[in-house]
Amino acid sequence: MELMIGLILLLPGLTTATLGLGWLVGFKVSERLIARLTGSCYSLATGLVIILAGWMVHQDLRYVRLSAGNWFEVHTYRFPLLLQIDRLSLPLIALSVILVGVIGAFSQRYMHREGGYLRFFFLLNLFGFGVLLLFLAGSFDLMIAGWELVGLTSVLLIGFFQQRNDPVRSALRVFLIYRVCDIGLLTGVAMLHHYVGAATVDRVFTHPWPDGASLLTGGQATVVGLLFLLAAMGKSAQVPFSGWLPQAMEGPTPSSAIFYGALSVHAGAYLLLRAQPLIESSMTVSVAVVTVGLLTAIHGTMIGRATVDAKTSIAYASMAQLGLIFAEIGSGLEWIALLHLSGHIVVRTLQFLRAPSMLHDHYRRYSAAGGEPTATGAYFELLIPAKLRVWLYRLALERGYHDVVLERAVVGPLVQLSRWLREIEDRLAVALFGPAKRATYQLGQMGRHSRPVSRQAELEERVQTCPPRTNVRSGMEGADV
Amino acid sequence: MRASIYENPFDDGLSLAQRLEKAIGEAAHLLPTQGPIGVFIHHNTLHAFQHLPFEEAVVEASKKFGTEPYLTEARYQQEVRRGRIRIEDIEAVLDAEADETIWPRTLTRRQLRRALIWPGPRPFSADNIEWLIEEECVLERLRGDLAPETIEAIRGGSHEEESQLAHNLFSACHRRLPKRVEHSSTLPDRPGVGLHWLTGVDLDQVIHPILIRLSSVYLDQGQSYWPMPRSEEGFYATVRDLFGQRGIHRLFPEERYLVGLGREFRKQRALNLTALETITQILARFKIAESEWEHCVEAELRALPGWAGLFHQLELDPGLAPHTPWRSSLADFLAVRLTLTWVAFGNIWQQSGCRGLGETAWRQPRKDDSPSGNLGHLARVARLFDAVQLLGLSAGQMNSLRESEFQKLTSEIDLFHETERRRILHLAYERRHELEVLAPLKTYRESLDPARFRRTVCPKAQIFFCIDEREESMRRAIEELEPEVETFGAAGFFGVAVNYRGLDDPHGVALCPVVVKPQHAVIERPTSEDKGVDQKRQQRRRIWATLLQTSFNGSRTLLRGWIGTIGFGLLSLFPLLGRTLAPRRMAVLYRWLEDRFLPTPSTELTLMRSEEDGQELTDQLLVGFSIKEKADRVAAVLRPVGLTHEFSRLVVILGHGSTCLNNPHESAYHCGACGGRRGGPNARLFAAMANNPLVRGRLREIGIQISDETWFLGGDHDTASDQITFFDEADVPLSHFDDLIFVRRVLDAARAANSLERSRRFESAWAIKTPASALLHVQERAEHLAEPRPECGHATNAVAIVGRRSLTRGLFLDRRSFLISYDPTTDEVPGEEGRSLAALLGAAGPVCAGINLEYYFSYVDNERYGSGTKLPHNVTGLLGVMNGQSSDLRTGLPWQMVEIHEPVRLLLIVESTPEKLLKAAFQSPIVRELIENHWIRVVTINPDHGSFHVYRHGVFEPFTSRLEELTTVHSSPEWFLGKLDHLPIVRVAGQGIG
Ligand SMILES: [Zn+2]
Repeated sequence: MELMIGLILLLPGLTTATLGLGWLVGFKVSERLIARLTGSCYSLATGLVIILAGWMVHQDLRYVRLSAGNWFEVHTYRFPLLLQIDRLSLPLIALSVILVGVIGAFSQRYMHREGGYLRFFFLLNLFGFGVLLLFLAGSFDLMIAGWELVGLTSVLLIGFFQQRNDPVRSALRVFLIYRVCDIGLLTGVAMLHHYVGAATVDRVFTHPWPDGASLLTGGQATVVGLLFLLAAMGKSAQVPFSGWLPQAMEGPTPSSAIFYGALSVHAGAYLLLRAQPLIESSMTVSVAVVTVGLLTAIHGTMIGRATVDAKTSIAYASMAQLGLIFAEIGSGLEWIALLHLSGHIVVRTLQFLRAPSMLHDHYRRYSAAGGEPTATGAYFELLIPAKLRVWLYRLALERGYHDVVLERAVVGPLVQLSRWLREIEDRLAVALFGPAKRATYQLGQMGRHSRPVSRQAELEERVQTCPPRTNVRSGMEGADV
Repeated sequence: MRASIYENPFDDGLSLAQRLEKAIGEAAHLLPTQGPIGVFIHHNTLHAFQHLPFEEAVVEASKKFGTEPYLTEARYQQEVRRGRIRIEDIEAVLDAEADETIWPRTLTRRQLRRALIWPGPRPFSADNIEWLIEEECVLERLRGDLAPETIEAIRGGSHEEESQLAHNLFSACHRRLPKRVEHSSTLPDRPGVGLHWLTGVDLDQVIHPILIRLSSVYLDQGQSYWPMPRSEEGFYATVRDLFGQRGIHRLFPEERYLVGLGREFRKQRALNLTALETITQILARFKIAESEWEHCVEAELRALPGWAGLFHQLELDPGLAPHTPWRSSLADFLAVRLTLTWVAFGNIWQQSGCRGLGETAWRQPRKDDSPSGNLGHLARVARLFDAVQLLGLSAGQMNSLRESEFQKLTSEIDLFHETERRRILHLAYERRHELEVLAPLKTYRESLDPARFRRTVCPKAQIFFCIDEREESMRRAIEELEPEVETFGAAGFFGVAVNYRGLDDPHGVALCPVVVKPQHAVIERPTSEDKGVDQKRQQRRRIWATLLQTSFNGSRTLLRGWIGTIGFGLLSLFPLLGRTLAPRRMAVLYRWLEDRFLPTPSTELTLMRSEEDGQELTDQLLVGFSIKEKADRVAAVLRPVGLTHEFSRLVVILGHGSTCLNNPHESAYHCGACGGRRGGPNARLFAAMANNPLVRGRLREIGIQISDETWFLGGDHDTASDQITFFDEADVPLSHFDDLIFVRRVLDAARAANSLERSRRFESAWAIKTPASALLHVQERAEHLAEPRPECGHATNAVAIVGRRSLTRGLFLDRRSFLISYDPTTDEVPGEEGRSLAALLGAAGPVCAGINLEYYFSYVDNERYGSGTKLPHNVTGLLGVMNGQSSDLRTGLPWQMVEIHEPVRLLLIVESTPEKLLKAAFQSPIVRELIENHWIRVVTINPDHGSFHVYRHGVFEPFTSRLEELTTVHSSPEWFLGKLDHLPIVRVAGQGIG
């Protein structure tokens, strides 16, 4: 039975590898084959999960583990390949295999004849593998691997339409935020190793989920808990890292559904649920998680109400509920959080898939209501004086000024710092090699701009030469000789 | 402050504001004319250029918009290789163009063009020349595709190696072609562009996100939960109030490049400026003179054409807004845009260290990246080298050319630039299409027995369809199955222009072509005995609506969403799995549930209006039709098609629409003649009118003899699921029961056959071989959440045939022809000759041409004229779609709708004589413009002896090609099964009465 866990993980792994190989070799794989492969992979996995679940219930098992030894060892550090299914991961694994399968079936139609069909399915399967690894991981080290795969595929699918600027720009932005927050997970796991010498669940917690208690001291739990919170905040779009979520809507609809409606965006909440005993043992972390959650909930619901396009409004609604899930986790309501999480995953997936029907659905509702739908926003008008309403509306419209604040508080100073460092570098170069050598030194720094003697001079020069043209058309003028 | 900065330099007596309005009005012409997407109306994408000849207009537009006028040259070349374009087509097109001597006796323009166009010059440019020289060694050998005699000519008698030949030739070209330094430069057309060139910071990237967000929340028709606090005075005032808030404004941090935006708006508010005044002021601050206004305003508006166009459309016709006609004006939009531009400009200017530059530094021209220096020159030489190879000139000849001869040669080669070559190739592409349609038609026409044109036998049933080309296969399927059924095509509103409100509709909508404004209103209401049923139905629908509304809004709010997702979240798994894994069964289940819980009352139409109480008005509309009005409408449909006698016992009228899920462009699949809506109600109305004995009496007086045995029955054909529904079936007299069963049986078989023919075009439906499984397949498509192609829509449309069905009955037209029934013999009423034809062309002409041209442009440049791939589309404000979360509103058709289209202009074939046709067509200025400027191609077929004439360059020329023999197949499926591509016209044997 334990081996079945490995099989569940192996199936998407093999599918991914097959598709990836086909892609690399440049083999022309037919759409049908890709879809069939994906379909059978996840149907089989679903079957396995059901059998496993039945077995667990029948035998009244708290968990099933599969240890495949260590991947590698360096001195005292060991990277154990430990997979496990327990009461926390079982529902999520079940949802994962079902939903990735459903999205596969959906995309078979949706992506038909689209240039990146193979690429899309490769990434979808890779994501399936990553997310299963994330949920199945019996140690936090292994979880990092899944976590990174999920992040990577997410970014690549946001930039799916590579030929356009906006998707690529959004993808880069999301990538940046992911990277910043991933520091939390990496450092957290490193700290675990430092404190208890391992990061497997059985070494960190006393009992299997949800009865476990943390084996760390209060102070240690606070440190690790806060670091994990940082990681979770990035992945689950919590304030103040929430600005990326609407921007992630540039990809095709099914990928929006599986990532930002369903699994990827809930991974942060899962991490916190997994580390729940740690959070529980530290008041600071609990309060922090609840605060972040509530802030996000308020932020999400307020901004979501002023959004006007289908995908963004779902994204913010999703963010608000995620905030509540965080708050539940922070207050120790893990079962409610798990139920909330699972229900939410399904609801949002369906909503995203239906997003293009917004018009159709609206008119049905509208005509069923006899052309008099209940007005929305009425509470708002009752509770808040007119003047404040306009103010709040502006706040919502500007998305809470998140990006502006982030830019001013973080990005701006960083840019300033780098400029300042460059200047010092330049000066050092002058000081070390003398002005004559400076030019050669700069030549060595291909592609880097030196600070111009005068900005104005540079600009005048720029007018003379030619910056990139906007909107060039190919060969309109044709073959003049 | 209000005074103008500039003195009025023009003496046109217009005030400053008027002149600005005029400039905005002029610029607005160039914006897309698409309204809110809920009602999609096909129209010529280049409507603003329709006053120009087609070939000129596409090039003009491509310069203006940076779009493609035709397909790419590579694509046409591929079509030549595929045999879709033949060399003879290219030659014929070149022969039709004016010729000129280049070198006396040795080279003419025609010869030069013939040599250059195929296999076509290679695309040398400064960007690829280096690579081509180094990797492909293009200069060291001759082209591989030259004919032996051309190589001989290049050789010029010498016996050198090929590489030596090539080298000599290239050196000759190199020596002769003077190095030209090009000094072309472009002036920025608006401050944002100039600033971008100057600083590298894209101003649009700063202002577009906020401008798009503001526009969409302002125009929103109810998609957002919190409505925007709008000002009565319009968009500009709203935005100004929102951003110009006092007091707490300090709490708002401002974006780096938008610092001072609040201050600017507050200042404008303090001065109480109108939108026009704001625009004037900001233009003045940028030192843009009045003479440049139009140019600059146009550039500003064209930066976000979709949104600007929507503001303009809603300004022209506020009624287009599906729910709330918010006050909309293009000047408002421009005022907001310019204010944002001004503020962002100032910030970027300052932060990029431009302060020291003069105020008008943004106006400095940017030198075009002329293929500078050696590479550009090299590319030009390479292009000449390529051209002389194709012409078969030897190095010796090149060297010995006199300078004037050489100049003449290069200038002629220049004249035949890429766009010009694409134009020729496109004309060849269309010529082949024309031949492949007209030759079989002519051959078939000649084979017809004249007796076949006379309607003498009374058929078993008669069925009217819309002129829509998607119904061609349906009509053919019926005739193939049951030769004793006669079919007709009439514009899908069946002459009944009406404002109709169905039982479940919240309000009435116009069901007629967009150019017509309905004068009459009809309401569907429950019959008196079923009033109670209706009450129950509407009550339950209200409950249902409340439930849906609550769950929809609830999932987006905090607390309700919390309870909802915890309590019922996992239940969504059921619809999720059902909708994606078994969509058709799920739809059946839903329909069953609907039937169970929503009782359907029998209904009647408020159709009657007696002459006396005739002035009952609702919203300026007459309620119902008087007897005379009804008779007029029925006659207007029956007479042109020639159905004035020999009515069968049952006459069926089928409107059409399309049901599809998850498709914002749903309306584009509906009936174009009903203004992008379903045409079923029109069919039902028409049938009810024609069944009225008083109406029949009146019709008899004007020579339309509907027998008492005849019953009219209205219905609706769903072009996506191929479902056919009849209306008022219960009213069919018992005596006609057998006829009803007969028609039902024929239509059931025909719709299955039709779905099989449709399935051949779906790449994913390759395995389907039987009508029954095809029907299930198309039903699933219509209900599939994930299906971006529920049906192919109007894709592949190319022909419109106005004439008797006998001309085409028995021909396989591949769902590519609009079929407009017209009997020229009944259009000879003395004094009114051609009246029916004029009416048909006036109504159907613009509809068909609009569809055809929209498909043409959305196909040739899908990113710019069309709306790109559908996959990232995101519905916003119930008004349109954006790409992702913030982009311009996408107008035109998405790629999935047009991908199998063949971009050719509509071939309008009319059974008439050239004189009569022109007389009739020119009664409508729009049709006249379309024909005279060649936006459609026109052909006539003489009704008496069947000679063909094609309209070219203002005159009708006889068309004489015919086929040796028309391929004959036994049945349509035999011809189309297993084939994906367009199919030639063939004869389907065993079909037809004759
Ligand atoms: Zn129609």
